[in-house]
Amino acid sequence: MPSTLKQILKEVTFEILETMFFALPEPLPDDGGLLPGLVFDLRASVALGGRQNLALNLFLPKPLAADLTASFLGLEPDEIDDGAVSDMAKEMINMVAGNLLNRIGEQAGFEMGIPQAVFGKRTLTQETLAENKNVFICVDDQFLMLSFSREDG
Amino acid sequence: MPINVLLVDDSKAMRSAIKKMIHISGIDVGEFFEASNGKEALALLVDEWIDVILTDIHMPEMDGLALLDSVGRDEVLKRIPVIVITTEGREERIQEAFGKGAKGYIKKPFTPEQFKQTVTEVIGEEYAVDAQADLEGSDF
Repeated sequence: MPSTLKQILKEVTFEILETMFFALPEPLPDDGGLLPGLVFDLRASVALGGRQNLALNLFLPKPLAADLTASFLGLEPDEIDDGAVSDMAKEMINMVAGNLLNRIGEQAGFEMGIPQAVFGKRTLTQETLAENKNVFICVDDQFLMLSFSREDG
Repeated sequence: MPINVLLVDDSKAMRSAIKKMIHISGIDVGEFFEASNGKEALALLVDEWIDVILTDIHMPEMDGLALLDSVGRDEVLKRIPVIVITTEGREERIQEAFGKGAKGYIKKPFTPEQFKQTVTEVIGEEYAVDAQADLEGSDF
């Protein structure tokens, strides 16, 4: 991922976390430092289209997803269920992608699809980190990851 | 004076989030009505007194722009101000919404202060703000 694109992605995600989720995000180095072995439980994604048929993905561990859901919806943690967590993740990736495209998309011919969210464990590997294609953000000592992928891949 | 709000968004989560933001903003709301698309919104508008409509653009069945068209064609409904809340940032789409009668535009993400400013600009300070509510006194 080009460094300029990473920077824009960080900026829009920070703004969304701060304003809509009342969270205090912290930046991490691109390689994440101590992150290998980190487990994510939820992936939200949205197609961006464009020449490369890209999709934007958001990976979250369940505890962070539950915290963000409670903040976003104004609910207590014990009121949160998987459906609410899934809805939150879809709204979050929708806002991140929408604001990203507002800054880069008109020139690049991107067009957003409908966001989706699926539960499923994914462990972050050293190989994934070495690809240097991801953006990591820390929220309350927990980590989320953003990455691009090809829709057909 | 409390206002009755019609919130139109296909995402239940986003409707909940916007309701929370309205509460934090200190806007004095009487009743909240919710619809998941423009068609449901029009059905509610027939039966309920609504002071302001807050609508997304992208929705299934009837989107926000089609809702603006329908409201604008109705002699009774067109008195109700419509504010568009969306991630859509393309200038031509925003201007299209204003051209169809939208009175305000709020881009997601937004702060409670930004939300309050737009709503009070559209419907008037004395109408929207609860004297008992104060952002500085909020827990958030």
